[in-house]
Amino acid sequence: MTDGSAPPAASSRWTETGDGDLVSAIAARDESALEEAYQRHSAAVYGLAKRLLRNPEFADEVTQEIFLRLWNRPERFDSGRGTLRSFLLADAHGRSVDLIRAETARRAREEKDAVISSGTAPDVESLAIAATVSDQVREAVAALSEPERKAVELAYFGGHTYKQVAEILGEPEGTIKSRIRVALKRLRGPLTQTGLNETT
Amino acid sequence: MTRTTTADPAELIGAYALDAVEVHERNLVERALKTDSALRRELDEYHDTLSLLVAGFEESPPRHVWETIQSHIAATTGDADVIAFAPRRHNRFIMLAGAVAAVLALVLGVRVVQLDDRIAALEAGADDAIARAAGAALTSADATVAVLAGAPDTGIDNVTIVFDRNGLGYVFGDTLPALGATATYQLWAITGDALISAGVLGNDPGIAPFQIAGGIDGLAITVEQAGGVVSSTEAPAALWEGDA
Repeated sequence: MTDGSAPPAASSRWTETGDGDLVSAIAARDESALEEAYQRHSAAVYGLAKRLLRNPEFADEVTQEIFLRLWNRPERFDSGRGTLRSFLLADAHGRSVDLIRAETARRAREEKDAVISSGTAPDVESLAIAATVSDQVREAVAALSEPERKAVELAYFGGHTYKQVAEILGEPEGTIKSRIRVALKRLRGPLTQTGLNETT
Repeated sequence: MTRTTTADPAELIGAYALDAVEVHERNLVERALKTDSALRRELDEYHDTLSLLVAGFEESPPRHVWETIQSHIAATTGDADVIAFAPRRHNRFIMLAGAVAAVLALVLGVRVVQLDDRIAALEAGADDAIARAAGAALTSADATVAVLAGAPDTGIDNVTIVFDRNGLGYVFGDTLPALGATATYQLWAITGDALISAGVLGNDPGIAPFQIAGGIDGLAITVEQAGGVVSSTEAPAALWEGDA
């Protein structure tokens, strides 16, 4: 993990606190609880946003927005549906994709190009990078076929809709929809079997 | 605006988890998620899986990111040094909390660029005349684009409105949570001390056209009883105070 700057020191009283109780404290307007959540998850949120947006300033703004939304609307998090990490990352991914598509549309109009394209080469490296983190993730990624890996790369890390992915890969839209769903199920299998999933 | 699709939410759930669907497909899936617990579980599993792939990209944000968050929180507490939302001329409204003003400056920087995404969606897929006209309005050189900030606890982040110098405009109401059958959203044009109704938007508006006369100082949306009111006594659910 690269270190742009040391994160703020977290209050020690939250160290053993689960996600649900932490967010309950945030809802009770305990700023130290938000600081703990930031300590735990800001690197993942910022790293994902920066990977997607390739723009540190936008990544800063997305990170700020995600944690301010957690502060202002903590009721959106349901601990029964998943971890706080996955919730924040889903939020960050969605916001980042909004920005990617807005920028793409703006450039397309400026260039008077009716075809929506990313303007950049498809990102086919991100899953490979993700696989370097642990043996379990590497095995999960290796379980994907190359078409499945490309579809996930373009959609998740490239910000493309499945229709755009279909156009880029020259495949039917229905095929891409199915391929993405199958790929996600394949990824989950090895990761859950090894107990890698976080539970709090 | 009528949105029709024959897509199956279950077929879209994988793409939805990757934010790889179009606006109308996202709406379709989100409606299904409200009632389909199996679909919701599948989505949650995908989100958990994806979160595990991100570890390789973790990077601590710059220190100013947390400092900015702290500043915004400080500005929205009840402390004495809160930057108060400056009372303006519309006496009939209860003033919004400083939270709206404090967050708006942050959110606008991100939100404004999302208009382009909205334009692309309208141009790419809309077969509705109003939607096409609204899309054209967004790209018009003399259009004013107003982003109304949602009030706290309304469930509204913001609402985009575009209008030209002739007062013809469109409300992009898809960010407004649906109301019950006995309520409606109503749009108000603010001119000096006067509040002029610009129309009733309905309880679940999509893109709504409106016409206002002359220059305005701001726009507001309130929640009223079905059918609307002549004079509002409600606090604004969303507010824009012009470009000043």
